Amino acid sequence: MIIVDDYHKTYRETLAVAGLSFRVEAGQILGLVGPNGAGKTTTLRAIAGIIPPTRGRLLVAGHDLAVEPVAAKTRFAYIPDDPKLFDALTVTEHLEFVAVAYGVTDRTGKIARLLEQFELTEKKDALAQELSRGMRQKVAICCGYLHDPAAILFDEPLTGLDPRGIRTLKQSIVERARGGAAIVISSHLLSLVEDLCTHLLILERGRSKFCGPVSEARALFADHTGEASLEEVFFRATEGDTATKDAAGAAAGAATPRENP
Amino acid sequence: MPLARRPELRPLEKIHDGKSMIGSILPPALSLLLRMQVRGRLRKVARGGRTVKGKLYLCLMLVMFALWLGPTVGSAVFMPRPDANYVRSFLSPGLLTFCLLTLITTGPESGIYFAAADVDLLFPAPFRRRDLLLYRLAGLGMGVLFTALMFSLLLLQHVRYWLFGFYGICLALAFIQLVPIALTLVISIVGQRVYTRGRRLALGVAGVFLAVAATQIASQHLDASAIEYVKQFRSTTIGKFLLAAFGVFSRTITAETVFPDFLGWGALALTMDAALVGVVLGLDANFLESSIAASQKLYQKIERLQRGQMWMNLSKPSGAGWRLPVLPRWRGAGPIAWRQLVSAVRGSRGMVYFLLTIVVAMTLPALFIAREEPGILIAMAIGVMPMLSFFLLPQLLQFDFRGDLERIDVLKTLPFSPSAIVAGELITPIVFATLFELPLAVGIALFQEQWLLIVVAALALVPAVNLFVFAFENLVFLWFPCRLANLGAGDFQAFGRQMLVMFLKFVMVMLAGSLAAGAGALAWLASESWPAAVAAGWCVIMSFGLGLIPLVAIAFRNFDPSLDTPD
Repeated sequence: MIIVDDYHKTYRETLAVAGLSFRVEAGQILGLVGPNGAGKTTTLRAIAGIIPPTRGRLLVAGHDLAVEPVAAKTRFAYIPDDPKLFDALTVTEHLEFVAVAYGVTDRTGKIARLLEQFELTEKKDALAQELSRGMRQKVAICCGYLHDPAAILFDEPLTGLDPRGIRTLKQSIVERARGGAAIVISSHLLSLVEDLCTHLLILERGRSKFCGPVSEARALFADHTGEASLEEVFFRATEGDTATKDAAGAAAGAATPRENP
Repeated sequence: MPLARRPELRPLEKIHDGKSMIGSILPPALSLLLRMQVRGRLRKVARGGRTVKGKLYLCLMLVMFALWLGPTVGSAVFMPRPDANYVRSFLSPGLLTFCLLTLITTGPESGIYFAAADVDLLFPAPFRRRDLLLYRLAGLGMGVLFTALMFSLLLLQHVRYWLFGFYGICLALAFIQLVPIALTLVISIVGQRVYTRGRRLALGVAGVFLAVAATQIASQHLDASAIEYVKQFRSTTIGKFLLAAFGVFSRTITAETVFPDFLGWGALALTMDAALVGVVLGLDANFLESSIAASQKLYQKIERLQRGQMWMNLSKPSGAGWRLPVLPRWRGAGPIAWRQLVSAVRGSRGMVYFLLTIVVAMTLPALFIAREEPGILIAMAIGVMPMLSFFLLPQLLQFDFRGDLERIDVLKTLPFSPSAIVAGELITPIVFATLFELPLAVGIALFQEQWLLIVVAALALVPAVNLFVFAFENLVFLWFPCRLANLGAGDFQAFGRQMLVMFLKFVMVMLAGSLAAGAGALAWLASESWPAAVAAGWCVIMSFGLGLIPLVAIAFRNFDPSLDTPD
C-alpha cells in the first residue's frame, strides 16, 4: 500500500533522511519512532506529497507521488502534529470542504457519524478558533477519516486528546487497519506504538536502525531473559552496543521494499 | 487483506468539474472553501455585533470611516480636479516604489505563502499544484478588491471617474502582487540558493539603474526641488523603462474618456495581468516546499506579533554568549526587569535598524527643503518626537505585560506583590525608550540658544513621560487584552477597538500634557524661572505616571488569563 524506496532528503548541506526503504501493507500499522530530528516528520510529509524527495520513489496505493500526485493523494489521509484549521470556518464546514475535495457522496450521514464518534456533535457549529487543542485534533482526524482512505499517516496523534478521545482514536485506528487500511503512526509515545503497531521503524539521524515486525524487534533486542519492552528496544537500537547495532543494522538493511515482510 | 472501502468516492475527473466561472477554473472544493471563508468573515462580524461591546466597536469603526471618507468625497465633488498628467507624473513612480517595496519586504523566503491551515489541509489533499496556485491567486484577488476599494476612495479627488480608478487600481495591485510570485516560481525552478542570489542580483540591478538615473538627474539639476527630481527621473531612459508598465496602470486609473482612454489602456493593463497570470500558471514549478518554509516563517512572525514580540521579527536576537549581570531582588521587581532587559538587549540590533529607517524615512523629505531653510530639519525632528514617543516606541518596545500575555499565569504565581511585578515589567521599556529618545532630544537642543536648559529638561522629562506612557499602555492592555495580528480585511470590530484605545490614549496624553504645561506656565509666571517651570511640569507628569502604577497593579491582579481570547 505504501512503498518507500531509497528515499533521501537533504536540506542544502544537511542530510535529513538517507536511503530509507520500507513498505506498509494493507492492514499493517507501522510505528515510526526515533529521537528528535531523526527525520520522522520529514518522512511523513514526503509520503503525504508535501515535500519532494531529493532522491528515491514514494508510492501510495500503486501511485507514484512524483508521477501521479493527485491520484495518490486521493487514497490517503495525513493528520499532522498540531493541525491548523481555518479560523473562520465551523467544524461542519471543514468536513463539508473535505467531502467535496475528495468527492465523498452521502456526506451528511458520514459527517454526522464521525462527529458523533469523536464527540464533536455539540461543537459542529463552533468556529475553529473557538476550539481547544484536543478538539482541533479531533476535527483533523474526522477530516482524515471522511473519505475512508486506504492509507493514513498520523504525526503524534494523541497530543491534546482527553482519555476518552485517546481510547476512541486507538479503537478507530485498529478498526481502520482491520478494514484494510495501511497506517503509519509517528510518535514519541512508545506505549502507543506498543499498544497498536504491528511493525516498527526506528530512525536515527535520518537512517533506519530497525524495520520489521514488532515481535522481531523484541527478539532482536532481548536481554538475557529473552524479553524486551519497546522502550528497551528503542534505547538499544539508538544507543546500544556495537554488536546489537550491527544486528539491528542488518534488520534495517533487510527492510527493502522487496524483502520487507 | 482487503483494501479500505471506498464506495462513495467519485472518479477524480468528476471532482474537478464545475459550473460557475470560478468553478470552471478552480476545483469545486477550493471555490467552496473560498466562499466559506468569505461567509466566515461576515459571520465573524455578525457574531461580534451581537454584544454591546461589539456593536460599540462597529459603530466607532463606521463613524471613523465616515469621518475619513466625508472630506475625501467632499473634495472630489466640490474641488476642481487636478490635471491628469500631473497626477500621472506621481502615480507611476509611486506604483514602482510600491512594487519595489513589495519585492523587498516579501523577504528572502518567497512571495508565495499559504496560511498554516492551507498547508495542513490543502497540500496533502488531491489538488494539483496549479489548483493550489489558482486558489492562492483567487485569495489575493479578493484582498486586492478590498484594498483597491480603499485606495480608489482615497484617490477619489484625483481621478475623473471612480470606476476607472477602482478598475485601474485593482489591476495595478494585482500586477504588483503577481511580480514577486512569478519571480519566486522562476527561481524555485532554478533552486533556492540561486534564488536568493538571483533575487539579490535582480534588486541590485534595479538599484543600479535607479542610482544611475538619480546621478544623471542630480548632475543636471543640483538645485531642483523634490517635484523636479521626480519629473526628471521620468524623462530619463532608465526611468522610462522602469515606469513603462506602471504608466499603463496610471493611465487607466486617470482615464478621462471611455474611448480611447479607458478601453484602450484598461485593455492593455488587463492583458499585462493576464499574461503574468499565464506565466505564473505556465511555469508549474514545484513551489510547495519553499511555500512551506515561507508559510512557517510567516506563521512564526504572526505568532510573535500576537505574543507582543514584534522586535523578534526585525532581526535575529544576538547570541547568548554573554550575560547581563542579575539585578538586585528589589522585592521581586529586579528578576522580572532583568529578564525583560536581557530580551531587549538581545533584540536591540533590529530595533535600532528599524528606528533609524523610520527616522530617516520621515526626515529625508526635509533634507530636500533644508537647503533653502535649515530650520526645517529642527522642526521636523521636533515633529518626529511625539510620534516616536507616543506611537512608534510603545508599539515596538513591548517588553512588559503586552509581551508576557502568554506568561501572565506564571507571573501571577510568583511570590511578589502586584506592584513589584508592575514595576519590574515597566523598567525595561522605559529605559530603552529613554535611550532612544534622549540622543534626539539632545540633538535638537544643540541647535537652540538655551541648549543646557533643554538638555537638563530632557533628562528629567523624557523618563517621566515614558513612565506615564508605558504605564498607561499597560493599563489599557490589561483592561482590554488583545493580540495585534488579528487585524485583517473585514475585522471591523477589531479596527473599532483599536480606534477606541487610540482615542483613550490621545485623551489621556492631552490631559496630562495640558496639566503639565499649565503647571509649568503657572510656575513660570510666579517665578519667571525656566527651571521652576520644568520642575513643575515634571512633578505633574511624574504624579500621573506614579499614580498609574497602583491602577496597573489592580488591573494585573484582576486579570483573568482564562478569559483571554485571540481577539
